[in-house]
Amino acid sequence: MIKAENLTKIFGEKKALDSVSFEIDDGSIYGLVGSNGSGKSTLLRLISGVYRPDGGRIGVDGIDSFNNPTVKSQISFLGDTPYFLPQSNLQEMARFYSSMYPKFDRDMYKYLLSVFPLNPKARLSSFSKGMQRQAALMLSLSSLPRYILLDEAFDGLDVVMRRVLANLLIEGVEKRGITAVISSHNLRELEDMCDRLGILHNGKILLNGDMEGLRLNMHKVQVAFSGVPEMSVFSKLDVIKIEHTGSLISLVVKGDEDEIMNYIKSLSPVFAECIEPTLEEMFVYELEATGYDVKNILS
Amino acid sequence: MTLKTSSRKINPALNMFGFTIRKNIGLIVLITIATLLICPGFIISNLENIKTADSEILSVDNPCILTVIGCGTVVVFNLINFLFLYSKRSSDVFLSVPLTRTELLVSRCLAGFVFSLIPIVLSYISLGIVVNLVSTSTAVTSIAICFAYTVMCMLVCSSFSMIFVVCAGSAFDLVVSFAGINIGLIVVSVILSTIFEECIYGYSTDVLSIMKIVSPFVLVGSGFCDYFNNSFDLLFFIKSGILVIIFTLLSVILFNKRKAERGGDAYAYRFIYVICSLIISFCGAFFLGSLFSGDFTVKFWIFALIGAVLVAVAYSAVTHRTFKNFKGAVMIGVCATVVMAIIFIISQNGGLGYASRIPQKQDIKNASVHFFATDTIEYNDPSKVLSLHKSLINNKDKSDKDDTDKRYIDIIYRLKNGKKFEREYTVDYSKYGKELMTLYNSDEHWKPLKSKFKDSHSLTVSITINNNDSWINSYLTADEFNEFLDLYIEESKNTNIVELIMRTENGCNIVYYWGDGKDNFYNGSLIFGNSFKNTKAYLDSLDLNERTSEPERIDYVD
Repeated sequence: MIKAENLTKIFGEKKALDSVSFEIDDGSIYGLVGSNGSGKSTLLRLISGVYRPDGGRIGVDGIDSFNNPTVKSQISFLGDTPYFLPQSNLQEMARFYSSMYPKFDRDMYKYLLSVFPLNPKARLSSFSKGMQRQAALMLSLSSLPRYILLDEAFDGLDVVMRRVLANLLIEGVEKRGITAVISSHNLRELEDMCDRLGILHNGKILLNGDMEGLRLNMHKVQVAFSGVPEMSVFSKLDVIKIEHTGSLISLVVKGDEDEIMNYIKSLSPVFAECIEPTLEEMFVYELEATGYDVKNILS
Repeated sequence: MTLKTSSRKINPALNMFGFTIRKNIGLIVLITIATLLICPGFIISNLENIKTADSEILSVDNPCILTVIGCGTVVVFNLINFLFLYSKRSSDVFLSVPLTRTELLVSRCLAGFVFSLIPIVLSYISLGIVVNLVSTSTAVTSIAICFAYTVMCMLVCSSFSMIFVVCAGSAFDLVVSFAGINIGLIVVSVILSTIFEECIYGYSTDVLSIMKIVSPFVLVGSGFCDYFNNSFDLLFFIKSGILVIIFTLLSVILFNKRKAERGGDAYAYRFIYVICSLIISFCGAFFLGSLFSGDFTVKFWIFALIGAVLVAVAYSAVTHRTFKNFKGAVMIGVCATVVMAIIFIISQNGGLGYASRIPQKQDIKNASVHFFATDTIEYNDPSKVLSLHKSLINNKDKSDKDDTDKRYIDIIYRLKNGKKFEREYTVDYSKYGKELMTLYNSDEHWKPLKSKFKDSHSLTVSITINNNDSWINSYLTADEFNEFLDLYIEESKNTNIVELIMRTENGCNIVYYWGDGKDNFYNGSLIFGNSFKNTKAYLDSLDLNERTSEPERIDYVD
């Protein structure tokens, strides 16, 4: 389990991370969302032991990751721009990773070579951005880490390759129990594959929630009455947001779907419908409820 | 559920070492070929000369070249092997591999050292083979010692350069700070020596000693050269070993404390910028100050301040790629000038006791003195030298500085603890006439000269006599010269220092003599005025004008 307690990282006078605390359970895919400069990459570098915290702790299974080879051997960190040794090809890089990571799996490497159509003998510097990203992912996945940290993982990948990567990660979680932490500034990219999501803004975690729980617990209800009722009739519900256009009232409500709809129907509406909100909508509603300027956060 | 995966037993540190070696193998081959071409390739191409040359020639020049190549290579490889520190992309990869920072530093650094050593080892082996073929076995031993010196020099250079590598934030700033500090320190040594020479009474000019204190590169370089001048010095290895340990520990500590996020900044540690800025500002201060004023006047200090600030601001702009840090740079410039002013004031006030320090008689093994019109005079009993030295300190007159008739007096004490205590004075001789004449007329002055001629290789002594700008080139037989010398010594007891040194005096004679000694060539001069009646009469009686050409030399037979 990855656990951060009051984690703080300061660059000059700016707090990149400000007393962040969270836990990421093993065998899950954790999505880290936030705008540019929100602290996502910094957080991943702290987990992987590249950065030393300026305050608080971060570690795996209670052991600090900074300067700890045992912890680091279980983590594979892939930065936002892949780096390869000068003049090297994929084969050489595989040898390098194989000599560093004890669990590096040649069979997995060969399998991934069949998945990603890359020439292992071609110079990596001659690859396109997307191909370089694929090569880096191949090396990371072949190292069979317990924790794989991907910074802007889908950046540069086409739709097919995004799907392939998502499947590989899901497969890794299911078959080997790996934990993946994926950062992105695009919430939609993570929607279908993450178990949990965290939103970072200005170095603080604004929201850290279970996807299933969020989905089950939040509902968008559209309801119409013959006349316009007093808004106070909805006070019995846990309403996050309320809007009305003409006779149509839109509600975002937290709670059990059946209980909500039973109550709405008891108000004798002309029309009532419960819609599942998108992930992005859920986060927008949650954040708006806590008073944040959502446009700046989920840009 | 976690699926168990097989885990191989690997040593990432060792693998990193091997991987770094493999990655640079091509470069090593090239450097090895180039090094072998220089040494012993160059020797083989000149084998005809070497067969007739002294074996020592082989063991002097070439190891020096190899040491320079080895030190240069190890420093360059350190820079190459740690370039990853200067970019976020590469440091993400290297700093996230399962190694501690210390393991990473040691494995990469050691790899650099090992492949710098490969061409050096091969060259020394080749050199040894060549020397063994054409020279004696002593030379081979000497080469083995040279190899040990080379390795030690490389270790010092490698560990010292690592401090810069770890402290830098970008390759450009690494080169700037490395060159700035190391060249700057050498220039600072020269500046300090100039200030001391100007301000400290009796300061014995010794730039090399200052350089050895401030620059490890000079320290090991001069230590290596000392081997050829003197002999194997275990102390060099002890001192260098301590330096290697200190530099390595410092590098490890700095590397462990280094913030990875500083990669891409100018420096990971600000102190290296401050030190570099102070050093080059110090140089800038002295340069501009000296340019506008030859002496330490107010004008000098005004321009020194301007020079220091200008250099500090320029360096700050280069480092920060902006002029925004102007205020800090001005402060550093001011500090550099203040440091120079403090050094100047301390020097003016005796250099923390340097000017008035005289060693205790019981601590002195022997003493020597050298002043105008004499060879160096050696004394086992230092009393006479101490008497002159005390007089020089007690009668110190600052107005002497502007006296154009002042002349030098050099005093050296060799102490029982093996150290050397040296002072150089430029003074008016008339103030110390009694002490100087005591030394001039002492047996220690004349005995060695007389013995030289007795044991001389040639039986004649060539002389040139200058009598009121009238020159006579002639020779004396060894017996004649000794008789002349006896008369001179006798009459010099009744003269004074002024007569001895006043070349322009009417009737003044200078006898320049030279000849082949048993072991080496010797020469010197004797000055005498009109009071040396017997000496002059003796020379006149010899009809030296008639002796225009030297008689055929008779070789001395042992």
